[in-house]
Formats: sequence, structure tokens, C-alpha cells
Amino acid sequence: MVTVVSLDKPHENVKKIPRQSKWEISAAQWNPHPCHSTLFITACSQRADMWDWDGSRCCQKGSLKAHTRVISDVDWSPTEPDMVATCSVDAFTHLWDIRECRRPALSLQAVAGASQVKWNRVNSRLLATAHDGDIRIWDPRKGTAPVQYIAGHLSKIHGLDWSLRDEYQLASSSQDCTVKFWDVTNPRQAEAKLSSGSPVWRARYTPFGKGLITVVVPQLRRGENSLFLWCLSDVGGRQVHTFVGHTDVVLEFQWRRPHADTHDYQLVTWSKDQSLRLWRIDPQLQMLCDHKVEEDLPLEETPPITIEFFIPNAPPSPDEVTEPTLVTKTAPGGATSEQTSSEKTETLKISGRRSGSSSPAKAGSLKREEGHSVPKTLQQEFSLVNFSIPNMTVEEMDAVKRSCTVSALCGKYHVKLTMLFPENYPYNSPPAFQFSHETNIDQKTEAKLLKVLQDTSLHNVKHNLSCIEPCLRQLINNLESLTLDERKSPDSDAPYSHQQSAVLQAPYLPIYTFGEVQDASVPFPRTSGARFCAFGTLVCFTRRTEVSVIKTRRLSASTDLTPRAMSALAVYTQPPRMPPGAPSIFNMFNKIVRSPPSENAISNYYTYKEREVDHYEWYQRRASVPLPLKHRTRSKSRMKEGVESRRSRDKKHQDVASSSSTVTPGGTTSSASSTKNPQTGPVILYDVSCLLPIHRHLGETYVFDSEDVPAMCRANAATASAVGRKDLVQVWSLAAMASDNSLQADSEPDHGPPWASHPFGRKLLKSLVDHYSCIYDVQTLAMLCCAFGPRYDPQKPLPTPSVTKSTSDYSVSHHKYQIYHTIHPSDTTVKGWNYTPCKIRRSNSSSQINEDYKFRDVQDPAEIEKEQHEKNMRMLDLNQMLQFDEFKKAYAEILYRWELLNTRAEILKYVSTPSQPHKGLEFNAECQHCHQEVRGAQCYHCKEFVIQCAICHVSVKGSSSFCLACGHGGHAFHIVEWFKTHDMCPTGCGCLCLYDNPMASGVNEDSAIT
Amino acid sequence: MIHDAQMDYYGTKLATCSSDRSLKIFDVQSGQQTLLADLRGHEGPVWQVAWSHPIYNSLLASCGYDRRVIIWKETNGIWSKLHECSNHDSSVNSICWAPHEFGLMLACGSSDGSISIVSSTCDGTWEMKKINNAHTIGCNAVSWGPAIHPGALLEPSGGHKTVKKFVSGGCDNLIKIWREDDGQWVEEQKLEGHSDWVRDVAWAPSVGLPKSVIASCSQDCRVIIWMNDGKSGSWEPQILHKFNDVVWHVSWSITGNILAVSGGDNKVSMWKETLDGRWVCISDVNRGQGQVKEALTEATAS
Repeated sequence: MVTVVSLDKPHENVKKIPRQSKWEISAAQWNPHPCHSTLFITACSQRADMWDWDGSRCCQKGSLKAHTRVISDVDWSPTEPDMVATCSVDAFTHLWDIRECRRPALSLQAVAGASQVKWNRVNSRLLATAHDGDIRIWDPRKGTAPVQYIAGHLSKIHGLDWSLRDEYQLASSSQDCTVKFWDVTNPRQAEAKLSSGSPVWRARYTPFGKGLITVVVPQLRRGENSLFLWCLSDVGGRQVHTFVGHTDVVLEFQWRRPHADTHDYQLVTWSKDQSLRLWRIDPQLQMLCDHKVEEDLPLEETPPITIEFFIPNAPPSPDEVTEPTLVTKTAPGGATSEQTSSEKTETLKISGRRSGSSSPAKAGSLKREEGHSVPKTLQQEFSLVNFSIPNMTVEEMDAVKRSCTVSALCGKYHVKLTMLFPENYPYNSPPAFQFSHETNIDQKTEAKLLKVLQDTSLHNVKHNLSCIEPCLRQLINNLESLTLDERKSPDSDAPYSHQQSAVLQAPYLPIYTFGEVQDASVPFPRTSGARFCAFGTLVCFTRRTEVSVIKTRRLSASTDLTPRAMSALAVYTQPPRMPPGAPSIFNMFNKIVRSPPSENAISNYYTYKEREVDHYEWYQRRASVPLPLKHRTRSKSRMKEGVESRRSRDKKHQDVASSSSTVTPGGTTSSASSTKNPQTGPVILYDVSCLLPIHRHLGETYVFDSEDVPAMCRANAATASAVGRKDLVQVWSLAAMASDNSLQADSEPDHGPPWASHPFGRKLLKSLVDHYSCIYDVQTLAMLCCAFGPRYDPQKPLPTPSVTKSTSDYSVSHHKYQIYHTIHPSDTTVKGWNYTPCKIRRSNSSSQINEDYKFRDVQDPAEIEKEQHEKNMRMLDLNQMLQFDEFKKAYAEILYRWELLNTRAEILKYVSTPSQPHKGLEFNAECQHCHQEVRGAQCYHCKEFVIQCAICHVSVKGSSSFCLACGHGGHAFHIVEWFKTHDMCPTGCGCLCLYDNPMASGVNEDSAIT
Repeated sequence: MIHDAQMDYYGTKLATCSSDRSLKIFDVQSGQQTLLADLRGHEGPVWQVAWSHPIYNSLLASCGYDRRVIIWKETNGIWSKLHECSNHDSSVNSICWAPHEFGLMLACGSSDGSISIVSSTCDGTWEMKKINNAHTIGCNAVSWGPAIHPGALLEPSGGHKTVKKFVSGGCDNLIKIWREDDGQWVEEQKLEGHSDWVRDVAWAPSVGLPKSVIASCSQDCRVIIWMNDGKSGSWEPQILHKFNDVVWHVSWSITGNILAVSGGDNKVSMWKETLDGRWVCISDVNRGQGQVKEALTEATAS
């Protein structure tokens, strides 16, 4: 069906031309030239037809047949009246001379199918085609290959548009949410890029100013039905206006200039909502796009014109199998003003099975914010209402009598409702509701329903909004919850009874309009899965196998894959249409018809009725599954790791295997029904820790000894041997040898290179680290780094709190310096030498030397050499210190999971920078003796213990508790004991410690200083 | 129908969520299972659960079809709602707690295309930031990056500031990496590789190496491992395998060396990286072909 509409008289001149074809029209365009103004071309499947329109009738002038696949776009040449280009997914672009229709005048071949073809508006010798993400620019004189090739977008290009003025300017709109502007002579880089939030279907330049109109891709079917006007003067584009009004996605739009003497333009848009809208673009709006309007124009005097027209519903034409999708229409505008002025009646054609009405478009009105176009008349509203409400049929709609009758069938209820609309509806006057005598619900329910309907309608008309659709949806929702209510009592042990009651608690769900369209973007529910949890547990949950069998059987009809969106579940619904003799699977679905539409889609799937298999028997069988797996994985890991002391490991694994368990949760509602847990497979916990490179047992038994590294390595080698990690035995033995005391480097650089520069020194360690990095054995990595890295003793008081927070190289070294400084306060002249005894005292391992040891004021080359030498003495590369710290921190985190907190604390002592600066409150005590602020238990000004217990009067060294109000306290244990029976301070100061401490709620552990 | 099952940090409790709108918490210590709680509060199927780190008292978060995210808290064995967020316009498909170093923070991906980041402020209130239109049509999965910032490891000193990052996957077939920049969430990278909806993404835990790894799975039946060596900003994709059915879940082991993959075919497989960087399937935690056949015979017999 082709419909021709005169845009000047859109209400009168509407002509429909029936077509005999089962294919949709994919593209259509009027000839833009005055001499051929009666000609238009339509593309349908592989054929393009030319038509001549004489004002009342249409006759076919010829067919262009050359394409082998569907034609995607047609475009008349803007300069040559007889020239038209067609492009197709068959990868050809044909140029036709319409005087010779038998074969194309020229064929341009590309590799990929073409989605768009557009002639240059200025230069008749250029045209552009879009192929997926690429643009090709052709010169018909050089037809064998494109003159330019632009790899424009990463995603498919939906639209192309040449600038009206600039010969080389081209805009391309793409799925990748951008519009790119090209200078076609420079294909490498787009001149500008406009980022829209969503994939762009079409982007067209405005005929005025520097503007651009975009629409989103119709396939998305979601969200945006508006057109956006952008001003291109700014870099990146600026959205200046939104044309709101269409109730479904916009498919096409074109420009038009109704009269040469006005400054207005019209934007003609065609949407999937079956309406054609004309938007007036007045000079104010044009100015937003930097269009210079002549100054003599009195801007205020142009009232915004609202163009309305209404196309009565056409009978559905049998030849259109699907709803209309793509329609192109052309107002021969979009070009220069000379053309439009010559047109007497501009016509526009619409194809489609049903034409809707257009609601008034308030384009260009000064109230630009107003986003809601309200249907003015009842008739319009009737035509706009989406009556695809389940279980509801419209019996009568009469705009003259101002009434609408619908009937709804829901469960055993039959409701017939008549709505009567007052004259000034919807302006603050709600319709009247009336249930007819055919309704079979009781009085009470009827009253309740009426109340709901009135509330809903009032809510809408208060805002001058139409209310038919919300009311009807509300009605059906309520009826459905009623039906549920009915069903609830007879089979209250049904698995879904609780959910029904949940629905009843909320009598209607006005916020959610659940529906299949929404579900199209909700992913299909996962019904099985596996997750690694905790340390080494793999939690698997599955469907019962029976369910999956049923599912695949049902699905295999359409596709072998599991569907992606939840809307696919709707396939399983539609029970009312089931034939009585349907197979038993369908009977399962019948049981759940009762659920409201919100749940239909999902619950249908879930309520697969159990096959009469004894669940427990089945479950018992299943429960034995984890064990074979365990054996399998164990043998694998054993193969890899080498077999040693198999007996002890076997014992361990037996324990592990017995600790794996199966759980059967979910699915059921009450303990009564839990005996027949129908759909849920068990949750199985596999212990997969044997697959991991780290071992809890090693974590428990590894030792740290910064004083005697070789001994530490030997002890750890023995530990590794006990768990059967043969490789680790070797590693620790090597480490013990490499850290042997006899290899300790001399602090004198003159005595030859240190051991670290030997191949078995740093290089050996590095290759070990690299290897264990590859197998993610963070345990070994962290332990090696600790063995060969320096240890930082937090027991040493930090000089200033700020140092703990700073992480820079300098302050750390500064802090170390001060530590030593406190030991040797007098010697500051020959620093380098004084530290040697201190080093020796602290450790006999070369790796113990402080990495951050730097002297800012040393100039002596010998000192520099020495410094370098000290760096060289290290077994670990200084530059990777941060990296090694991360290993330690990562391992510390795992130890935390194992609840090996002491080991974790031990590890963290080796981290060069404090892992986390203390963030919370900190309490400082004041020394009783010298009244200095102290952070530890001992004052380092007067060396006295800071705190004296208020109860036993002995100095406190361990944990202590204090009252924040009076400051008295003491040994934590004493204080806790005291306040078990008292609520006043033990010193007798009169403080009610238990009540005066806002933070101590119930327990009197105010602060603990250790 | 169970949609998710997760254990807490220590592996002592198991939480499951189901299409019957409930969550169940089991004690699974010592090989026994006892039902601790049956949580009701969602008005639709519950898609996913997530446990927080124990320094935040092991909160449990759940999200579902009813567009809500509920955070549950246990006090003396009684579970109650601590917070409820209902700021999404469509089903909330995925939730993920941030690493504990970032504070108590939860990312939620929804079918309305947006991602919200809910974080607890010190005074017990919750603050929400929303990334609108993060994924066209819908966001299906979110996963936080580890708190260790890999880039900082290569610099010998300074600049050791962890950047909060997470990865998301959606119906636009894209994987996006988001970064917090001055309090705002910005898209750092967009990874194209899948040809259909991305169903799950998982950022591998860090063992302290400079590289970052992300696994993604999709409706196109493929699992892709994205690897960033930490030096250049680029993510190199490597197709792990093309499965026979859609892939729903990817999950990393604690050390990041094993990936568990599960999908619409009701099967689980585990993959391990070999020393030369290839991925091999190490075991099929499969119900076994025999099991399916058995079920078939049962079905025909009854």
C-alpha cells in the first residue's frame, strides 16, 4: 500500500494506492526536479518501480530490475532529472537513466552490501555509498573503483548525508552512537565527531544554519522516540532542541519549505506509531543553529502554527504480512528554495497497513520544555490507545457518543465496562465508569474496582492527560489479582502460594508495567552456574536434568541455543490457546495461568511440574557425584605437582572430600512442600583447593625468621616436603643455599662483587619469581620475597605520625634514618660507617639492609660507590620492591581468609610501605610522669610506663580500657570485672562511666591501647 | 529455580537466591548444612547475591527482577533489611561488592541500561551514583577490579594511588571499563569482541602481578579472556573456547589461575592457563552424558 498525502492539505488529500506484493517497500523518493515532479520511485525487494502521479491516480512507468537482492536505498540525482541511483545488499550500486529502464546506465561494485546511496548535492559527479562501517565515494566517470574509501566507523553505518553547501562535507551516522563529519578528500580522520547516547539511525543537515537532526535506530524499539536537533557550531555538537511527540520510533524524516516567502521550514517525520507529523521550524529555532535571520523580520508576530491531520483507519491490506517497518517519503525540499517554490502541491506518500493519526506537533513553540503532546480529541485518543492488553477486547468505540466499551475475561470473571467521556475530557474531567449487566463479579468487588478506576482516571485528568489505557490496564491487573485470590484457598500448598499472597498485599502494581517488551532486554534467567567462593570452594547449582531435557525439546523447534532474553519465556505461555488434546507438557503451563502478567513470563518457566521421580532417591544418587570429581582432580594435580608422601596427602584429601557437601535449597516455600522440591537441582560444593597453587597447610606451617634466613628456608623446605610439593622443596633448598651466611657480601665494595650478582644470586631468585608468577603461586612468591627482603619492625616507635601516611621514598628513608639516629644520637658526621654495627646487630643477612638507605648530603664518590654496592648486595631487585610488596599483600589477604591472622601480621611486617594508613580514631595517652603525649605503653621521653591501673595501681603494659569522660582506666580485664557490678568510676571521681561514654554502648571497652 | 549461590568470605555460609523471591542462607561448616534464614523481601525472582568482606560484618546484597537491590544484615542470628535501593527502572541483573579497600561499595547493573554505585557513608546513610546509559538496552554484569593498581607497580615509587575500577558487560555486546575520576565515573575503555549480549564479566583477582585479566562470556557461546600487561593501556582478547550453548557465568579462583565456566547447557568446565599462555580445560564438572541419558529414559518410562 502506498499512500500519498498532500502536505499542504494533509487532511483532505490522502490517496492510497494498493499494491500487489508481499514485500514491504524499503525505500521511496519523489523526483526532486520540477520537470519530473509527478514521478516517484519505490523500492520493493529486488525491484525498483517508477510511478507517475497525476493528482488523483497513479500509474506505473517502469521497473528497474537488476539487483539480485533487496534494494536498500534509492536516490534521485539532484542535478540530472533522469538519473536515479539504487543500492542493494547484493553489493552493487546501479545508476539508471529512466529513459532506458532495461539495464542500469552504470554499475558500481563493492565487496560488501550497500545500505545507503546519496548523491552529492553540489557536485553531480560524486556519490557516496555506505557498506557496513565503510564509506565509498564514487565518481560515475571512473566507475570501476571508488575514488575514495573511508573506514568510517567500527559499527554499521545507517545513514549518510551530504552537506547542502559544501561539496566535500559528508555526515555519517552509525550504530556506534556517533555521527562523524568527513571531508571526503581526507579519509583518514573525521573532521568532527558528535557523540549521541544511542545508535544513530539518520543524521541530516538542516537546510538552515549549521544544524543537524538525528534519530535513534528503530530496531532498538525502546526509549527514544524523539528527534534531536544539534547545533554544529560548537566542537562536538550541542543538542539544542528535542522534537517530542511520536509514540514510537521515528523511521524517516525530511525537510520541506512550504512557501518561498516564509522563513519557516517544516520537518516531516514518519514514525512507526503510524503517524506522520509536520513540525514547524520557526526562525527562533533556526537561530539556535546559528542561522542568520534577516533583521526586518518581526519575530514575535509569527505565532506557532500547529498542523494537524488525521488519516482514518485504513482496512488492513492482505498483502502486508508484517506491520509496516520502513517507509521513506520525500518532500522535495531538503534542497534549495528555488525548488520548493515551484511546487504547487507537495505530496507525500505513506505505506502501511494502518495509518494512525498525528497528534498536534508543537514544534518551535516557545515553550520548548513542554515534552508531552496531548491528544486533543477523543477520536485521536481512541486511535492512539494501545489495545494490546491481554485478556481484553474492545467492543465498541464511538467518538460521537463519546463512549468506549471493553470486555475482559479473566479466570471465571467476565467484566464488561463502559466508559463515558464528558465534553471537556480530558481537561480535569474524568470519564464515568459503568459495569454492564453481563459482569459477573459481586457488588463488593465491583465497588472496589470502580474506586480503583476512578482514582486512576482522576490522577491522569488532573494533569489534563488521557486516561483510557491506564484505566484499562489497572482493571485487568486487579482482575488478575482477584483470580489469584480465588485460587489461593483451594491449593494453598502450591509452590507459588506465597507469591500470590505477595501480590495480594499489593493490590495492584501501578509502578511496574511488566510486559514482554520490557523483558526483551532482561537477560534470560541463569538456571545453572558455578562460582568460586571463599578460598577453594566451587559452588555449582544446576537445573534438574529433566527440566533441561524438556527445555531443549521445546526450544529445539526454533533454535538450538538457550534464548538470550526473558521475553523468550513468553513462548511457553499462551495456555488459553492450547488445544484440549495438547501433550502433557502443555498441561504444566495451564497450572500457572493464574499468575498475573507480571509473573507470567517467568513463573511459567519455573513451575515445571515435577516428574514423579522420588526426589530423595534421585538426590542420593546425585550426592555421590562430588567424590569422583575429587579423585579426578586430585590425580591431575598430583600428576602436575609430582607425587611425594602420597599417603599423607591421601589422608588429607579424604578429609577434604568428606567435608564437601550437597545442599538443596530454594524453590520451595514451606516446610510442608519441601518434600517435593520440584525444579531445583542440588547446590553442590566442590572443594577444589587441590587445584590451586597455594596450600593452607603450608600457610599454617611456614615459618619466618629474619635473623636466620638459611634456617628459615630449611624449615620451609621440610614443610613443603611434608605436603608433597616437591618443587617447593627444591626452591627452599636453593634459597637456603643462596642465603648462606658464608656468602654474605662484605660491606666493602673493594672486596669483589657481592653474591647477588652471581648467576645463583639475584638471577636465580628472579627466575624463581618469574616462574611462580606464571603459575600464580602467590604463596611461594610472598614467602620468597619475605625471606630475601627486609623486615620492617613496627615495634620501633615511629617518630611522627605523619610518616606512617607518607609513602614516598624520601620520607621512608628519613624515618629509617631517625630510627638509627635514636640509637646513635651523637654521631652525625661520618654516617656511612656508623651503621655497620647496627646492621650486623639487626641481621646477619645481606638482604636485611634497608633498601631506602640514602644519603642526601654525601658527595664523596666512595660513598656513592658504596651506596651502589649496597644496592648490588641485595638479592631482590630494588626497582621491583613495590611489586614484591603486592605479592605479600595479596598473600596476606589469603591468610586473612584462612584466619591465620598471626602469620598475616608477620607477612605485613615485611611490607616496605604501610599497607593501610590508620583511618579511624586514635587515642593518645598522656604520660603520668612527664605529661607528654604518648602513643605506646612506654613514654619515650622519661622511659616510664604511661598508664597505671586505677584498680590494682600497677603499670599497664598490655591491653587497657579507659573512660572517655573522666580518663580513668586500667587493665582491660580489671575494668571489665569492675563494671560488671558497678557503674561508677573505680577511682571515686564520681563519673558514671557507663553512661557518660556515648560510644560505649553496653560494653565498657572505650579504647584499647596496646 | 536457583539463580545464584555464593559462599561468604570464609566459606562458612552459603546464600542462594531463587525465582520464588526468596533468599536462603545455609550454614555449611563441617560438611553439614543447616538452614539459617529464609529471607523474603523481593517481589520478583532474585537474580544474584553477594557477600561483603567480613570487616563490614558480612553483609549480603541481593538484586532481582523487581528492580530492587536489598542489603541484608545479620544481628544475633536474625537477618533483616539494612538498606533497600530502588532506583532502577528495570530488572537489576548483577551486583558486586567493591574490594574492601575501597570502602563499603556496591555496583549494580540493570536492564534499564544504567549502573549504580551505592556506597555507605560513615554515618550509616547510603550514597548513590548512577551511570546512565552505560550499556544500551541493558547491563548484564558488573565486576570490580582488584584494589591493587597494576600500573603503579611498574613505577618504582610514588603515585601509588589505587584507582577504583570496575568492568561491565551489556546487551550492546560491549564490555566497558569504568574508572572513578575525581568522584565521577568515567568510561575508560570499551572492549569489542563479542557478537551477542555479554552475559557475565569477571575481573581476575590480583596476586600482585602487573597484568590485569578480565574474562567475559556471551550469548554468542564464546568466552574471551582480555589481558592487559599493565604497560600499554590496551586489552588483548584471546578466545578461550566456543561452547555449544550460551555461556552464563565466568568465575575466577582466588589466585586467578583457574576459570570456571558455566552456561545454558547445565555444564561446568574449568580452565587453566598453561605456562606458555594457552588455556586448557582441566576438568568437566559435568553431570555427565550418562546422567542425561538416564534422565531421558526416566522421562520416557514415566
